Amino acid sequence: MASGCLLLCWLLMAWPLAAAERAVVGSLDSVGSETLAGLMLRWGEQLERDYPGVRLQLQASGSATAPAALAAGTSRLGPMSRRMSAAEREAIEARQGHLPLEIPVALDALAVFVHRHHRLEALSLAQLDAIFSDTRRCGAARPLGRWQDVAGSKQQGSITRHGRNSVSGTHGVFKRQALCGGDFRLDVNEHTGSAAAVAAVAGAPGAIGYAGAGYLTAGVRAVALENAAGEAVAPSAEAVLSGDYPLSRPLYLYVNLPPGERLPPAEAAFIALVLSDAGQALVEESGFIALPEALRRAARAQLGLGEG
Amino acid sequence: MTDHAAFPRQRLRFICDRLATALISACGIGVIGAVLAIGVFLAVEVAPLFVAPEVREQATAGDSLPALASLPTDSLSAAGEQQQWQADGRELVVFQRTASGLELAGRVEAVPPSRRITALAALQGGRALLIGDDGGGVQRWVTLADQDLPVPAGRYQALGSAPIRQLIALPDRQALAVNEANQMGLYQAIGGLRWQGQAPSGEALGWDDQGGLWWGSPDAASRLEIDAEHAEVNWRSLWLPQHYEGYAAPQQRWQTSASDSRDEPRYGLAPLAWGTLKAAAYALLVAIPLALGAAVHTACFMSAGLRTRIKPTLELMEALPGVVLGFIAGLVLAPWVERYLPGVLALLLVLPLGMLSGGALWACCSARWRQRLPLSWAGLWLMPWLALLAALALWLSPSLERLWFDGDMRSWLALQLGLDYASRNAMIVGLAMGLAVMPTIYALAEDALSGVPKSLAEGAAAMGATRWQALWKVVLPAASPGIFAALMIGAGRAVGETMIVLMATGNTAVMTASPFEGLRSLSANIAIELPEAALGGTHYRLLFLSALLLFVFTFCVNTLAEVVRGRLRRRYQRLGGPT
Amino acid sequence: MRLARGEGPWAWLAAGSVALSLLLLVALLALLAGRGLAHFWPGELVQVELDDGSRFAARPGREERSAEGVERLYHTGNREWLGTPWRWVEVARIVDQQRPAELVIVERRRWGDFIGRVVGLEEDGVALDIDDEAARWTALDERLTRLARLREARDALRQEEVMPRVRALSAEQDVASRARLEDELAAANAEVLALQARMARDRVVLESVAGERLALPLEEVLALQRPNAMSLPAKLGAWGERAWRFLSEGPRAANTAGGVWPAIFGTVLMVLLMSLLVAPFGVLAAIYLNEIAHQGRLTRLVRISVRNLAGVPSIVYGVFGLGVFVYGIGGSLDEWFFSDQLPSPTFGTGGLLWASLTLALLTLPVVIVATEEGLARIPDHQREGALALGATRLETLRRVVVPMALPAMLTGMILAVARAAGEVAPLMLVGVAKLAPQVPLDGEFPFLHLERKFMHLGYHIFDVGFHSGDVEAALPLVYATALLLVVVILVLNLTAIFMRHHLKARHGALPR
Repeated sequence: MASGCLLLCWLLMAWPLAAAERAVVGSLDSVGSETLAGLMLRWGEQLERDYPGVRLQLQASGSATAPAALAAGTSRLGPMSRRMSAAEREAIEARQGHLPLEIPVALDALAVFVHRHHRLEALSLAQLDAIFSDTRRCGAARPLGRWQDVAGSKQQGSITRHGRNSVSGTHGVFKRQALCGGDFRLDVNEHTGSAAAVAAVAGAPGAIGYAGAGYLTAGVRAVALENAAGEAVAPSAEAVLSGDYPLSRPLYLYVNLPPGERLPPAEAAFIALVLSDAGQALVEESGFIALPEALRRAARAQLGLGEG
Repeated sequence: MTDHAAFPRQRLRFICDRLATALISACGIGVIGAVLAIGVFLAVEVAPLFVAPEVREQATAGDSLPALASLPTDSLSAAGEQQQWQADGRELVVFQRTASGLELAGRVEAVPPSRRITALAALQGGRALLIGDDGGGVQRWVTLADQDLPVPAGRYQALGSAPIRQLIALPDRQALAVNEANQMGLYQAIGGLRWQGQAPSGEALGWDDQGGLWWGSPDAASRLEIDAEHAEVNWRSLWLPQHYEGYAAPQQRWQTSASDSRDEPRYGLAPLAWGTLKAAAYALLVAIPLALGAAVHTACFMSAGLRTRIKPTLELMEALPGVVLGFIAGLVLAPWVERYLPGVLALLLVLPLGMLSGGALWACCSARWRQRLPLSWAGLWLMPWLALLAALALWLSPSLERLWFDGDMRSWLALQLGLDYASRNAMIVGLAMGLAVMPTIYALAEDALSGVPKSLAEGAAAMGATRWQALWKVVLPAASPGIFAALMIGAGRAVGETMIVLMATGNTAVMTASPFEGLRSLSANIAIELPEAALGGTHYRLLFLSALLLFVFTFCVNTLAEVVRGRLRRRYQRLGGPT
Repeated sequence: MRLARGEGPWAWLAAGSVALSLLLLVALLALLAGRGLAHFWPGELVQVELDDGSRFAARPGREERSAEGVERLYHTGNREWLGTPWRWVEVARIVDQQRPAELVIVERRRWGDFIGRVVGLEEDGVALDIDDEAARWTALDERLTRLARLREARDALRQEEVMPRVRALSAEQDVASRARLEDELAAANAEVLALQARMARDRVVLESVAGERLALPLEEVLALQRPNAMSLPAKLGAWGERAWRFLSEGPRAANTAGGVWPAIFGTVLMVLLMSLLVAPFGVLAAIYLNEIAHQGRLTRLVRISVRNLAGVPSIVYGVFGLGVFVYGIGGSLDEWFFSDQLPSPTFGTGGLLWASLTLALLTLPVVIVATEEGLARIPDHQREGALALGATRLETLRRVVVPMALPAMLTGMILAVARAAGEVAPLMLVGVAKLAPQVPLDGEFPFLHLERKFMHLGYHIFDVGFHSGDVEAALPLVYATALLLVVVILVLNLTAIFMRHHLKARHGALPR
């Protein structure tokens, strides 16, 4: 027993100690996704417990702020809830001379929420497009403005729509995946945070909104979505990992690292934590879906980090 | 102490005085200058938006022509995102791209009968097409998601009268048009013809790896520098409806998308300006009656002892931070109002009636009671009465809804009146921002009213006028410039308030007047989008333009108010009242 | 009767407006105070049985009435099993409610609250054999006290041994002393970790009402309460303790729990810096305008402009601050002095200095106007008297004018501070951060870090209310934060009003 305990102690101590040799000190700046903010904060708290000399400063107003900050050099870490676009990559390469490293850190499902009293079981992507878009690129014939027009809905009355503002990656991903790249209707409420969008849905029986599945609260219900095979799938971890759920996305951390250089110790410690089991446990605690081990191993290899 | 001992000290004092004066002056002028520089700085940042685009010929390369990517050779066909277009006389032949290859989707007459198409180019993104004809005309067509054929989206100013020889698509949805007379024009999808001039001799050769366009012949080539960073913006495109890609008709839109450059940015400031004014209007609708009523009561009816307590209390409301009001409006008030909508609307009727009925009841009371509850204290003792009535109205709200609105007032509104109800709407903003603006108007209006020389009101009273008559006929007209100034300053505050609008609305850039629909204001838009906007880009500068507009508007309104107030002050001085 | 008719209905509407305004103000403050203060109260826990036989323990919250009947919101905690720590329950479905005294609510470092029962204790993984309920509580209390002691020791060790070496290490260049420092740091870290290993000894075994079991390391327990067994004084004590922790601790769990200390600190520091900047310049500008400048048309124009600037929207100042201070001056500073750190900006990004400067600019008109008002109130014969006695202009200013106008200047300053403390919109552009646990003032040279981002109470309200993952849990925090902010601002304003009143009374007595 005592030896087991010793082993445990040693394990607890070994990892931070090994890194302390490389003097893990300094301040980490992170600018980017609002969706990832909660997770970044939790990682930051954990990191500060492991390494007293490290601090995380976080600004989270939306994914689009990350490439801007990486290009300007305002921060070295850019969490994004979508993939960086080609134009954004080019802008960074033009300013910094190299591309940022892309590390997937978690998986997220975009969920469509309705009020908890709303008895709507499933929506097809075309219906979703007809509700949220006025260009209707996914092929719906006419817009849906009232619940009685939505097949499968027992609700009456007009639909009010809630979502994120255009800075956010959630907005961008939903636009790409659910609206087929089309435009949002002008009357989709643009909230500055996912929590505010969900709270707005929870307060109004006729409302529908989208946000990360982790934002599910007691006041709302996530609607199942029909995927390409025509089956209605609820946003669960299994459905996302198997690829059945149609609206899912990896969440990324972009790191400004000149080629050939090693990560500074503070950044390395942070990313090692993010990709470790402890870090991924925090992912689940935050309502996201933990990254499969294979992806994590690939990311560690890409960064030249040991098995953490 | 002799004179000659005092003399250097005197000198020293004198020098000190001069130095200090100079220092204070320098500091004062510097500070005032710095403060005033705000407007200048904003204007400087905005100015590049309205600089006319230009196409310039750069130094020739001589022998060392860089490796060039070639231009499309066939100017009579163009490839879009989903479609392929071909010119055939007057007609545009449209092919749809499918999994199995190209499929004929249809033909459409694109130019007037006497003309024929001479050049085509697909704009960046592949959802719009420029068509040049043999009369120099250039027009844009856009594709729609639910139709096979593109639709015309506007005819630009023609480039001379010679046939268009070639259309070369450039980034940012621009294109260069060249005609047979060797004239060259720079078109932008929204901005139209932004520059025209003489084309260099020779042909377009191709792109170098920095995206520069080379022109001339292989022996004598020159590079064209296209200086059109903000070509999509001009004064008209900001304020008038524009025909954007994907739509059948022109629209007022503010929709930016940072995530993808394939999307056409929609920079219409009109919906934002509309939202700003709408929010301010609803806020003033709440604030003005409340503030003026309170000012009149405090200045003319309230007992002096109570006044010294009540006035600072109401002025204190001005200090409530916008973020607190916004939070309460957005997360507490909005869902609550939606649930008790009939009751809240009933309050609009119940509260004034309650005040009047309070007065009527008071008149019926015995003289003893009236003495115990005088009008000069009515501001206090009406409070429980109003609170009771409000509680009653809200308690009855569900019953009202069942009785008159079929159990759901929101769907009743939609069905009977065609009004959509958004939970974060102009009414909520009006309530919250009204509360924020009310104290400003109240304080200034009260000052104006109580500043009217007492002699005027006393004169009227001596002629037998009641207090209300004296107020209405004498005091109010005398104070009206001051009250006007109060309203102006209140309007200025309402226009610029950011956090309340940001938190209490859904930030929907719609242009409706309905109190039950949302809005997006200039100030909230800046707060949301400026952190993401790329430094120096069109979006960034447009947000600076929004700030400049807010600055100019509030500055003008406040100056007007200040001038009026100054006049009023001097008039009172002439009348011999207190300054 | 006659009088009433004579005054007419308008007089009553006017009186009603005053009443309504006051009512709104009172309702607003009552809402903030009620919800904000209630957040810290240890409310009762109930064990609920539903008609389908399922049971759960929770703290009841608000009720909502809808077409489906009355629903009540319960805070159930136990998020790892239930998915969300909140649950709406139709009241009609409840068949039984009990309030067992042994129900506990455990505030944990992770996964939010636990609600259920304590069923045992473990030491080094071995269950302790304590059957008696009371004895178990005593044992638990002892262990919690031991843990608190260890935690204190560890925090002290971090503060005194680890942090100074970390700071020294980041400044040290010499290889030899670096190696020495690193050795020392490793030793100190090992000590910390040894303490942490000792802290990990005890575990408490918890069981939810539905039967799930959990052995929770005591180290993860932040607070443990049995509200149903608490007496009123004990509850009051718990209330005070939670309120104090709210004021003195930093935020936890992605800002959805914990306190607001860094935000209080950031707000106060930013406002202090702003006052230091605005006071001298505002007063000098006012003295120049009122005492030195030639009182002509131009001065009048400038005066009107300065007054107007007080009405320019704060977001415009934010835009100006971003363009001029952050990108303009900050960018240049980085190029000149911090070019070795480029492209990571030092001053070329939002920070404390730029936020203070922006707010100083924003409040400058307030100070100028208030000071000028005070200066204008001083009768001319006071100045003339001083000048006639042979004083120079500087002496007149220093000995006569400024002392008399001092209360007005202070009023202006307080109003400026009150306005600055409540402004959020410009800060969003020039340097406020969602979480900046490293306060801008510490023992590290140069002690005051003007380039750092900071937290702010007003922005914290916006952020927690709109951005945190769990709105239900965040709302009470937001209320409490809002209450704090409003109280601070009201106190400042009341001081200003009091001083202005005092000033008027004093100068009203002066002969003109």
